Amino acid sequence: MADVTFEKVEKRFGEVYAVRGVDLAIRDREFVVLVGPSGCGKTTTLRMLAGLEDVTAGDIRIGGRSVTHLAPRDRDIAMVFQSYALYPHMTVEKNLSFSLRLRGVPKAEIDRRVQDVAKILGLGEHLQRKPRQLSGGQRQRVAVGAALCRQAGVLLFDEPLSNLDAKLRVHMRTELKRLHHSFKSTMIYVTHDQVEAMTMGDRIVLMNHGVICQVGTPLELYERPATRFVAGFIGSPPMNFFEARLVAADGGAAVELGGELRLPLPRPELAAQAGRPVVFGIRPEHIVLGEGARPGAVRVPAVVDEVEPLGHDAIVTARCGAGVFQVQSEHYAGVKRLDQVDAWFRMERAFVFDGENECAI
Amino acid sequence: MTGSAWGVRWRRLRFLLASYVGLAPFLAFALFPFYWMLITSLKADANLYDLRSNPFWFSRVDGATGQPYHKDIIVPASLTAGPIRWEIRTGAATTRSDSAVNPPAIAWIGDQKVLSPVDGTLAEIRVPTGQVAHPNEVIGVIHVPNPTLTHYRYLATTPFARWMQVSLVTGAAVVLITLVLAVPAAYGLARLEFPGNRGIGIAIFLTYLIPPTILFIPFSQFVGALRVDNTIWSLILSYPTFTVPFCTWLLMGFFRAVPKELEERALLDGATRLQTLRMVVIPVVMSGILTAAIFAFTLSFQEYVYALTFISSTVNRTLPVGITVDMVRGDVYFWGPLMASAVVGSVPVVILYALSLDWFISGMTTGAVK
Repeated sequence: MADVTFEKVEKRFGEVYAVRGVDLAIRDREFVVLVGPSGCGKTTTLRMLAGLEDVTAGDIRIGGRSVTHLAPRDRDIAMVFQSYALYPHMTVEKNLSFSLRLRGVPKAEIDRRVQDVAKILGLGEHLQRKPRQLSGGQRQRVAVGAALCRQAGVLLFDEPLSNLDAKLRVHMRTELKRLHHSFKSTMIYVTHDQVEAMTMGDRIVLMNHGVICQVGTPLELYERPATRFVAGFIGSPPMNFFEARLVAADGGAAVELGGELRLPLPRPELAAQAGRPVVFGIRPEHIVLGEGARPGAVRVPAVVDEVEPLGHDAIVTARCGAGVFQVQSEHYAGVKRLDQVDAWFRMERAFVFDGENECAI
Repeated sequence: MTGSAWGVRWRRLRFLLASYVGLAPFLAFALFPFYWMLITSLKADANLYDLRSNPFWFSRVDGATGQPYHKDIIVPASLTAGPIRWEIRTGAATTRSDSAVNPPAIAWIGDQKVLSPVDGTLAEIRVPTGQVAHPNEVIGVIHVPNPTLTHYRYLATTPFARWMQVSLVTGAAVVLITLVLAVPAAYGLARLEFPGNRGIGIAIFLTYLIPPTILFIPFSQFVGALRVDNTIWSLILSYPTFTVPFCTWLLMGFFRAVPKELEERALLDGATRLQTLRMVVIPVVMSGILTAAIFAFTLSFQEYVYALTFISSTVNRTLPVGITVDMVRGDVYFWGPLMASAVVGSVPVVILYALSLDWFISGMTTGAVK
């Protein structure tokens, strides 16, 4: 069993908190992604789990056993580094088997595991090469393979795909997910790329300024963001935000954007809080362009600033009285710069955040 | 299509040509001292001190007289019956046919060519049949061979081999001591966090800046107190005082260049600190360690002041001291033997560099982290 528990874990560098009050329970064989902007503490958290950074306070347990004060090699952990960290003087085979040789695994067993991993990762022909003779993608596979060979209970990834080109990155994403299904390790994956987080994680841990903002499945984070930060971080293109005020209207509630635009909310209970300053948020994919009323959608007249066609749909940047917003819409044929358009805000998918603490209301 | 292929080839050729033409002056500049050393060591003295000959190449004729370089063979005053005895005078030096090294070799009368005892070169001796040579009569000349190995043969009559041995043994011992001390020191200073880490690093560098000429007097006290004066141990113990700081400083740079992730991965893979150092870090900085070893060896091989002061017996001298003491007498420089010993003395260093060249290059191209 390799479940991982963080209990009130914190890390200080002098007076500066890198990580503070992290409580997190990761189940055995789960694929968890730590995501957040750079400097949010995700890598520090991972390195504390690996034993590469001291823990200032709190406790980390793997499989119920406290590892807070154990040396890295006693933690049943393998890690794939961002820079791959291949031993340049060793062949691929020696790189894969290094940890096994150190641990005194019998020769036959080492060979079997190396062959297995090489086969799965398609490294069979390259076993006798040195890392400098390999391409970036191949090096990355060797790094992953070396971690897999260990058959450690917990596998850590520190932004492993960030040095690959876009196409290879997408490919390796799928590959890693496939590996997670066939290997029996708990995997913890650090990235700053929300697309990687969304596509790979069983659960996502979103961090900012050293604290965890929200933990949940990708869809939970997408559909029920706890704060404005989470809402803005998850989803691409990012959610549109407007400074707004709650108002009561027609027996229900509405938000008032920029003092003039009134959008009715399908949440009548908010009418009681009329006058409260809020942030109104709606995702680009929940705004529809075009004419004619849509059920549950509110019309906002706007002027087109820019159209970025992607093929199937386009990202349209438009401007209304309350500010600039983006729309991701399939109905972009014939839409040009400076056109007058109707943007239909699907209010049932809209979010309201507190104006002060930015928590979801 | 072929046109463009030719174009590519021509461009590549032009690039190579430009590179080599550009590098040629540097090559000439670097090689000239060696060339000078080599031809000086091979020139006959007559050529060496002939100011009118072309200094850049061997000359066969005297620049002043136009005659081939030669030495006169003279019949000595103490001429007796039997084989003609002779002596050869060149400046102050005289070679006699009756000396142990040059037994009387001429047992003939008449015009003949015989093997001269000097250099094994042909001498022409002309004494008419039946005629008695008069004392001090020049009966022949010896052609001075040029180029010649005389100077190298001369080395065999000096303790040159012994000096070489002392220098090599000292060098090897110093390299060993230096690496044993400098590698862990440099790793510690480059990687481990401890108070005063930076200060110690800088202090080590500063010790290297103190010139040996200031230190040799206090050092001779130590050497005397340890009772190692006049032995090779005085050098083996004092040379690391400058090789260790220098190599530590040098190696710190190499250790700093090793990506931290490499060590972190080794720690996670199950290695201890020492295993990480031995199995990962040291192999990765091998080119740096070799560089340090070569520097340590070269520094100790060329050291002069300590070797001159700590060692007074001829047989325990190092090469540089032995050469300068034995081959410069008063204000006379015996350039031939001097340069011959310089050529032979540089051979170990040349071999060392040649052997480690592959390592250097492989060290520079191991960019296997990203």
